[in-house]
Amino acid sequence: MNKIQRTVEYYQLLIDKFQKTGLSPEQLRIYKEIKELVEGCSSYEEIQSRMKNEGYWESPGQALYLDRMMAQKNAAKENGFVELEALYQSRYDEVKADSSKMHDASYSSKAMSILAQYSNIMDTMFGIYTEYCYHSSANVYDDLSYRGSLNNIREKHALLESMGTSFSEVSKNSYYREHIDLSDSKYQLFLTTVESLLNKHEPDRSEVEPFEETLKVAWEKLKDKKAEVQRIGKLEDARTRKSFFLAVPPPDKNGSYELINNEQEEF
Amino acid sequence: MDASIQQTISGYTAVFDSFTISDDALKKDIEDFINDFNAVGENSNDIMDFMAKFPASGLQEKYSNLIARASAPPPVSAETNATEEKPAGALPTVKEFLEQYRESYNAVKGAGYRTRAEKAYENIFAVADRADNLIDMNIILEREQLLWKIVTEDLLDIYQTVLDATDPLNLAVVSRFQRMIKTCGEATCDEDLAYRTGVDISINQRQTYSLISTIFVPVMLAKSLMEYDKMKRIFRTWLAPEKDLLGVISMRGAVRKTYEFIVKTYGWDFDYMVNDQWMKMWLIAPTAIDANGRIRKTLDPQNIETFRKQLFDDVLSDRTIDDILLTEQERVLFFALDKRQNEVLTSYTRAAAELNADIVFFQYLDQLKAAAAGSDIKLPEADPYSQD
Repeated sequence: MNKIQRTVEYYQLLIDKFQKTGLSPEQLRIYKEIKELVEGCSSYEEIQSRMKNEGYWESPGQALYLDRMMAQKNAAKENGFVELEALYQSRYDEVKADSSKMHDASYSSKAMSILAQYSNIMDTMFGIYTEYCYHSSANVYDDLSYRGSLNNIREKHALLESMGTSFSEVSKNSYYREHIDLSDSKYQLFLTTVESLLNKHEPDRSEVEPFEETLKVAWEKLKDKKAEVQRIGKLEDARTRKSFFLAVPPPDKNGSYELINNEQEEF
Repeated sequence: MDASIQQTISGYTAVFDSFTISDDALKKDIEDFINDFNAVGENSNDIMDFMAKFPASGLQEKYSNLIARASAPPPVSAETNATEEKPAGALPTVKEFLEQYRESYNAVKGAGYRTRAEKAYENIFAVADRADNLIDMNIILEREQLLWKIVTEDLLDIYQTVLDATDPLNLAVVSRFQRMIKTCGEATCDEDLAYRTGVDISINQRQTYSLISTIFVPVMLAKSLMEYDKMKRIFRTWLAPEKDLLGVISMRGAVRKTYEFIVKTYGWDFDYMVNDQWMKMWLIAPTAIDANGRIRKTLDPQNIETFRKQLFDDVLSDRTIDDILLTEQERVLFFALDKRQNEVLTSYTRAAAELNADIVFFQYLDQLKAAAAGSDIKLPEADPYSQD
């Protein structure tokens, strides 16, 4: 096999590779053209001259770039990153029209900034969700957990607005919705509860009254039992220890942690 | 910077050493990328934070772009073939041509753990014995995807090394690395890699948030039960009994609310959490002892059965609070060590090092630690999930 035939074979290998995924249409087209060009030449000088004159020294680089932009655009589309999809499409169009634009890397900082915005909004939305969970389990007399979670919800709510969006807008966006692993009814409950908590600063009377009622009854029964209460406390304390273990993971996901090297001290 | 973040960054950026890059624009883009990558590393609290920020920052796709540009097919019909037509004395031999990869190979070999990448380079050098000329060499390189494998095998070295050092029950992290390994094994070209890693951004984020739920839910329950227990103990000291009694009563209400919220929202009851080994561990306040959170220090596991008793016999039962407070508990909670905390931590750290001794990630981390002496690299100490 002569060198021209071997070169054709090389380009056929590239064509075969770029045919596989369907993600490389530009490179596939260019290498098919080059292969055809090589097949039509009778010497290396002719190949060199025609490739240079017909722009095939630069076009494989441009094709690689365009295929990459399209692959990233498709990934962005699949993820629901609308602005990112538009950015890659416009980048594709720009470089398709003028290959010298390939070396302008400013688009990638725009892409980073779009992704960072998605990530920051998601972090804040999930933060509101965790504060909602903490608030749903907070002790009404514990300022840190009860009022703290309300304040945190308000702060994160304001943070979303400072990012140019809102809790209501984010909650309707399917990308963010998918990241909060709740059924539709539980998700709706989360949204309506958060809306109702935005103007709440302290527990309602209805939240504390049952505890105050229970206190009255229980205190009547316990107020004369100091010695008994203390005695039980001491008995329990005497059985209490301070204790640590070392947890070693199993070799695979079907196993259990092994807890070893117990260390204890008196309570 | 956290050493495991540093290691990850070094792992990624070292791949660029594999290429001979003459394009100034590409060199500049790589420099910018490394600066941006380091900035994300500097702004991350720990490796988990970093692994969440990395894909979301857009750097992963930028990385794929740069790798692709650096590994673009050699211009066989342009420069290479042109040289073939020159007088014989001016031609490089196949061996001479492939020797351009020697410096990168030596850098990979020096890392000590990048064995797949080492083999990928050795396969390239071996082409010198299989090809008589540069065209045949290019055909072999392309047919066997040998240049592409420098990229993917090196990534596999990094991903597999981290995966081997990860707790297999940490399913979100495990599946992320398994997915990256699958991608490296299957991607045949740059745009394929770019597409797959691009799609994974969203999947990774979803899994990270799901993972967080499997941590904070058991932590929230355990914390409220421990707080309830503490309130009871405080009441029994009788220092401010009426006020402290209200504390016990309201905390009992809070635990009930917490548990009902968990069951209603997630459908996870106590048995469900205890039967899931990962969530069960989060009931006993694990704290990482090693850099990857593989070996952890925990509270006493007997607390789990005490939690069960407290939850079902105290909190969710119809018993009156006076009855509860006048009855000695069958089981008691055990708390964190206090006086011997530092001594035990030292002994646990030593034990963890022995348990991890055969794992390449930790062996490599020891090299990093040695390198960190005298540099400003901050070695990891804190558990990304610690509730301490």
